[in-house]
Amino acid sequence: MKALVKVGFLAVVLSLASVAVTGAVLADGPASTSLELVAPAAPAVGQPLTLTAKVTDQAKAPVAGVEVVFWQRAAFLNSESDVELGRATTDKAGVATLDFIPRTEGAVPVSAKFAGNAKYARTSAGAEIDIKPGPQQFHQEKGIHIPGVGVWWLVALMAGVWGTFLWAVRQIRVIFHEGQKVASSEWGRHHV
Amino acid sequence: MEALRPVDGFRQRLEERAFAPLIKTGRGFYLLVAALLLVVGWGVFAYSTQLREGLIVTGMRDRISWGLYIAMFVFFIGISMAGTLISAILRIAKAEWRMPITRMAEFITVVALLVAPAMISLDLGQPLRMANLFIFGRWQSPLIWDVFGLTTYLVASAIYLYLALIPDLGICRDRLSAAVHPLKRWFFRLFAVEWHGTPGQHHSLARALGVVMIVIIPVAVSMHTVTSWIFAMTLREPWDSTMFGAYFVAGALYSGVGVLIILMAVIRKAFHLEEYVTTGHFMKLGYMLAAFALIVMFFNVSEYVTAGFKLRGESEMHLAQVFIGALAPYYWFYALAGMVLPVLLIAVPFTRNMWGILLAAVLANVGMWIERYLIVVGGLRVPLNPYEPANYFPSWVEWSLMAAAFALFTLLIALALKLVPAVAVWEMVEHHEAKHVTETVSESTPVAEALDGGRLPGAPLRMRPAAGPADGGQK
Amino acid sequence: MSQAGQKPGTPQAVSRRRFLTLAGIGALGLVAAGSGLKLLGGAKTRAEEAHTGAGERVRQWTAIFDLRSCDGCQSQNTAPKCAQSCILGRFVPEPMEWLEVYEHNIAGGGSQFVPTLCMQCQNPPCVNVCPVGATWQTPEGVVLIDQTRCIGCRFCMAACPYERRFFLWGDPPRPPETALVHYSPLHQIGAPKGTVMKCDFCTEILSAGRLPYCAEACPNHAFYFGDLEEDLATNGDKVVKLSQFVAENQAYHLKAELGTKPRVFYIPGHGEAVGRSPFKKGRLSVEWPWNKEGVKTWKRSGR
Repeated sequence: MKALVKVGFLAVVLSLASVAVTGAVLADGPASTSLELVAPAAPAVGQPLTLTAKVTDQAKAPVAGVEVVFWQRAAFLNSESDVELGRATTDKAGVATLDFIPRTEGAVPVSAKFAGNAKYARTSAGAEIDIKPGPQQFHQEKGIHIPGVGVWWLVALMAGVWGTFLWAVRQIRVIFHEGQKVASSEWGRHHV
Repeated sequence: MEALRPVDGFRQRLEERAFAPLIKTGRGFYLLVAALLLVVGWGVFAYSTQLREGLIVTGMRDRISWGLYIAMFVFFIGISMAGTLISAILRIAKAEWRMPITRMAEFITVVALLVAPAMISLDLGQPLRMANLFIFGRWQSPLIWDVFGLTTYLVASAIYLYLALIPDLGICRDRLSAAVHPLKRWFFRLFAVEWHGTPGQHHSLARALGVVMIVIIPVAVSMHTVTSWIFAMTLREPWDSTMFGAYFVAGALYSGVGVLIILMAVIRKAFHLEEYVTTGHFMKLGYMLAAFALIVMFFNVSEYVTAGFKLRGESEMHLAQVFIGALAPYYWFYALAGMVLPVLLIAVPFTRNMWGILLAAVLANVGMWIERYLIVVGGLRVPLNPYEPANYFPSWVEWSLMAAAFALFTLLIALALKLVPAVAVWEMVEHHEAKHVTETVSESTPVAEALDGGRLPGAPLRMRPAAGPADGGQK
Repeated sequence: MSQAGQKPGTPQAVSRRRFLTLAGIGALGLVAAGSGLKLLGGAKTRAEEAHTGAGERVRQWTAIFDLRSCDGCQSQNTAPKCAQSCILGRFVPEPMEWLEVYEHNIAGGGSQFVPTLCMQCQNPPCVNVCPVGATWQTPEGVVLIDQTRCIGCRFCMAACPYERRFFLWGDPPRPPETALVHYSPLHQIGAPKGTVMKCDFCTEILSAGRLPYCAEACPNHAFYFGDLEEDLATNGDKVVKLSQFVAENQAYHLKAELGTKPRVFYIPGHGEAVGRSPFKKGRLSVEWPWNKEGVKTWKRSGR
C-alpha cells in the first residue's frame, strides 16, 4: 500500500514535471539569446565610432539576419530618453555593426536591443562609453569670400574723395594768402 | 560809394539788380520770413510732442513702419541733384547758358542736403542716440553708406558753392561796404578771403573748381544710389530690384530740374532778373525736364512690365494695390499728371512757354513726391505674412513736420539770398566781357601792378583793351 | 589800413589754422579707427555676456515646429497657448506678438497653423542692415538686440522678411512685477520706447537647461528646441536625434528661397495628429492682461 502511494506520488510528480518541462518548452517558444555590445577604445566627438553587437543563442551559436537597434540615452534640456542611433542587421557571424559620429561628450550610455521574433527571444545590452571632447562640429553657413573684396574699398574711396576736398579747401587758403600779399603790397595799401 | 566806371552798362545793370536784395529789404520779405518762421515754429512744437510721447503720435505702426518722414527724406535727397547737374555737368559740357542759374541750383542742393538729414532725425525712435551712428557705425550697413554719401555730397556741394561765391563776395566787400549792415560787411570781408582778382587767385580758383566739379559728379550719383539701396538691400518684393540705383538717379535729375525751374521763376520775378534768366533758360530746362520725364517713364515701364508679366510672389498684390487698389489714385496721378502731362506740356508748342514749363515743373515735383511716398508706403504695405494689408494715414505731427521742412527749405534759401547775390555776377561779367574783347593784353601780375589805376579796385583783374588814361588812383 | 582785431594772415593765425586742420583730420581718423576697434571689442564683450556653452564647443540653438500636432489650440478652446505663454512669461508689451500663430491657406482649400517666431537666421538681414550694430548674432546663433544702443531707425524691421521685429511706438503698460528688473538684451524687459524688440529664443532659459515658454506651454508637444552642435532636440516629452528627425519628416524652412538661412524648421502638417480637419478655420486671439484703464497703447496696423 505504501509502495503504491509512493509510486503514484512519483508518477504525479513526474507527470507534473514533464508537463512543466513541456510547458516550458512550449511557452518560452523563442530560444533565449544574449547580446554582447562592444565599443571602441578611445572615441572622441567628431571621430567616427563603431559599435558592434553580437547576438548568440543559448548554445552560443550566432543568430544571423536579425535587426539590432542601437540607442543612446540622451539628456537634453531636462528631458531624457533613448535616442535611436541607427539599425543594423546581424551577418552570418551574428554581428551587427553601426558606424556613427558621436556628438555628445562625456559618459554616454549606449545600448543595443534586439526586439525578438518568433524564433528568438528579445535581448539587449548596454555600455557606457566615455567620449572625449572634440572640436566644434556645426559651422554656420557663412557667405562667399572673394579675396581682396572688403569694406576697405569703401574706406579707400572715402579717403580719396575727402582728400580732394581738403585740397580744394587748401586752394582757398592759397587764394587768401595771395590776396593778403596783394593787399599788403604798395598797391594794396592804397586801394584796399 | 565809389563811382563806377561805365563800360557798356551790362555790368552796371547786373550788379545793380544782383546786389539790390543785399542792400534793401522790402516788407514782402519780412512777411514771408515771418510766415515761414511761424510754420517752422509749429513744426518744432509738433516735434516736441513726438519727443515726449514717442513715435506713437505718428501714423506709423509695426506693419507700415516708415512713412512721411522717410518719403520726405528721399524727396529732398532727390531734388539735390539740381546743383550737380547744372553747375558741374553743364560746366563740363561748356554750356554757357547755365551761368545765371548755377548759384540757384547750388543753393537748392546745399539747402536740400541740410533739410534731408533733419527729416531722417525726425524719424528716429531714439534721436538723442544719433551719435551712435558715428561711434558704433557699421561700415556694412546701407544706412551708414547713406550717412557717408550725404555728408560727402553736402561738403562737396558746399565747397563748390563757396568757391564760386568767393569772387562775388569780393565784389560785395568792395562795392557794398558802405551800404550794408556792419555784420554783413564783416561777413563779406571774412568770406571773401582777400579775393582781389589777381591772376594767381583766379588760377587757384579755377583749379579748385575744376577738381571739385569733376569729383562731385560721381559723388552725386553715388549719393542717390546708396539712398536707393536703403530700400533695395531689403528682401521686400517691391524694393528688391537691382535697378533701384539708376531709377533714383533718374528721378533725382527729374525732380531737381523741376525745383530749379520753380525757384528760377520765383527769383527772376522777385529780383527783376528778366534780362539774365531768360525765356531761353526755361526752354532749355524744359527740354531737360521732358527728357528726364521720359527716362523716369522708361524705368516705370521696365519695372512694372517685367514684374507684371511674371507675377511672382507678392508682385501680384503689389501691382494690384498700385494700379487698381488702394494706392491707385496716387499712382495714376503721378504717372499721368506727374510724368505724361509735363512731357506733353513741353512737346506741344502752344504750351511750350514759361508758364507751361513752370506748370510742368510743379506737376513733376508733386508727382515725384507722390512717387517717393508710394515707394516707401507701398513697399511696406505688401504683407509678408497672411493678414490683410494695413493702411497708413499720416498724423497731424507728420503733416506739420512736412510743412515745416518745406518752410525751412524756403526760409534758408530766402535768407541766403539776402547774404549773397542770386546770380554768379563775376562769372557772368567775365563771360560777357570775354565775348566783347577785341584786343587782349597780357594778364601777368607785374604788368597789372604797373598799370596802377587802370582798373577798378577790387574788380576782377582783366585787362580791358580800351582802358582810358590812368585815373591816378581811386579813393 | 586799420582793422579791428587780429589780421587773419599773421603767422600765429596761420599756424593756428594748420593746427586746427590737422586736429580735425586727426579727430576724423580717431573716430574711424575707434569705430572699427569698438566694433570688434564691443561685439566680443556682448558675445561673451551671452556665451553659454562649456569648453570648446558652443551650442547652436534651433527649433522645429511639428505642424502635424498644431491645431492653433482649437481643441483647447483657448488662444494659442504658445503665443499666450510667451506674452505672459516674457512680459511682451502690448500689442506685440513675438511668437505669432498665423493661419496659412493650403492647397485644397484648407488651412494650417504656423507658429511664427524669429527665425534666428544664419544670414540675418536685420543684423546685416543695422547701422549701429545694435542687433547681433551670438555665438550660439541667437540674434539679440541691445536696446541701449538701438537708435530706432527701424531699418531692421523693413529688412526682416518674416516681419518678426516690433517697435516700441510709445510706453506700453507694464505689469508691476517688471518694475525692478534690471534690463538685459537677454530678456528685454525695460527696453525704452523708440527701440525694437523681438523673440530672443528665451536664450537664458535654454542655457539654464529648460525649454522656452512656448515649448513648455504647447499641450500637444509640437515645439522642439534643439542644438545643432549636439544634434539633439526635445519637446519636453522625448529627446530626438535632430538631423534624423528633420530628415525623416521632410522638415522645411519658411521662405527658404530668400537666402536668409533660417534655423527654425517646420514639419508639414495641419494638426492631423491631434485630430484637426484642415477645413476647420479660425483661432482665438491672445491678450495682454495687465493693461490698466486709460493707458495708451497702439495696434499693429493702424492707430
